[in-house]
Amino acid sequence: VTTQEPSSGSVLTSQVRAAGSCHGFQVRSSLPLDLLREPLPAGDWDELMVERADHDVSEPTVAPIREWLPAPGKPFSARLYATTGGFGMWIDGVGGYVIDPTRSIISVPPDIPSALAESRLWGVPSVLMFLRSGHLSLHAAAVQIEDRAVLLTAPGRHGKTTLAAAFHQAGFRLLSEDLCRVNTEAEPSVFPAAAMLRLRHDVRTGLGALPSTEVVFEDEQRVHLGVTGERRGGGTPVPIAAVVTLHIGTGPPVLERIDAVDAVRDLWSLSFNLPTDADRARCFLGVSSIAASVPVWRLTRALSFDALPAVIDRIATTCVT
Amino acid sequence: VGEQHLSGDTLISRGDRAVYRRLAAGEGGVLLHLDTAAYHGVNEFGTVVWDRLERPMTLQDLLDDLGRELRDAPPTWRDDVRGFIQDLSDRDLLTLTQAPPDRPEGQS
Repeated sequence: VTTQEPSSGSVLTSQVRAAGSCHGFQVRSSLPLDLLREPLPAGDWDELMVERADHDVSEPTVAPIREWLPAPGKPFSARLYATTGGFGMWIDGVGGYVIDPTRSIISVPPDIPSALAESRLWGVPSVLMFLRSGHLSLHAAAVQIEDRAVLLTAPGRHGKTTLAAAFHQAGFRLLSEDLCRVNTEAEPSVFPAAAMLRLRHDVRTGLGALPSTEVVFEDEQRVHLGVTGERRGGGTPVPIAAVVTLHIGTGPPVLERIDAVDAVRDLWSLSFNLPTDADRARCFLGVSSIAASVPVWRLTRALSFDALPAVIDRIATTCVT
Repeated sequence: VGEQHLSGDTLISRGDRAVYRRLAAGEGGVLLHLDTAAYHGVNEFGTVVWDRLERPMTLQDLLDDLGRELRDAPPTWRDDVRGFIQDLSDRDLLTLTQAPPDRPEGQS
């Protein structure tokens, strides 16, 4: 647990307006956060302080170390920079996040709605905080079946969040909708992420009523739903029972085990790493560790709302035994 | 060595840009090239060869070493090893050099 006080000190010296957990962090924040899980129990957890910058920070003029360009249906454009104290991430239309892993502080842009700031906070900015712990970031949703987790991995627009929402609708606990912090040690586990679902408007309509959710933010592309009440749960890690890679096909859902070499190939492309030798190696070894110790399944199914109940049934009855 | 013919004196070393992880028993292993981020799977026999190359050794020493341990290996196993070494070298995962000529007797 970090005990150093930040020099700017705004979180520690100003009112703490939110406390809870996300991605394995014990979180305190000077801005309201609506998507946190219950605080972690007493223990040696990573701490994260979130503050709102009091002025806009200029975007660096050097070349970014990573860049995200808009894609069809996902007009997200952002650039990541290595800075003296850590990282800076600039998201078009949102602003700059200043990430300081040494002091465990993330500063979010001023003058944007807290809900939007939080929604982006739990993406790459928070990943940059937990990479130093050696944990793996996987582009995956996760749901809890009985007392274990099933990770649903896929690139964008493969129905990952839709399937996660359908699991929530069917009464299962949602652990993450898009991005997972995975501890790859002896018994791999996943830390519950923000209790949110970001759904395209047509998907939300197609799914029908989603119990225990409320709208926290909405834009032209998506509605951001927060999970409410007891369905949210705590932030302690959940052991991983299986990983399911999602593929699009036709006909009834087909769920088949894949060998570890194929699993590494699938998971490697969905993991996040920094462009350094050390981090690329850390990430690859983490992915390999998951593939070596957790059953990995390939699910091929039609992308239709009607198919969702059968898909959920297949996963729930096959992958957690 | 590159395109050169592999000989018994060829010294084989793991590439310093390679990251390797053994998978579960019977599932082989995986290799990553740090520069290209290209990923390669190797089978069980490949993992045995890779493990032997923890220290640089000549092709002849490698074949001798494997020959002492392999049981029920197919008759083409030596060619398979040569092909594997050449393949990994082409992918810059192994480095091939000519062994020094003054190697002591019995270590050719």
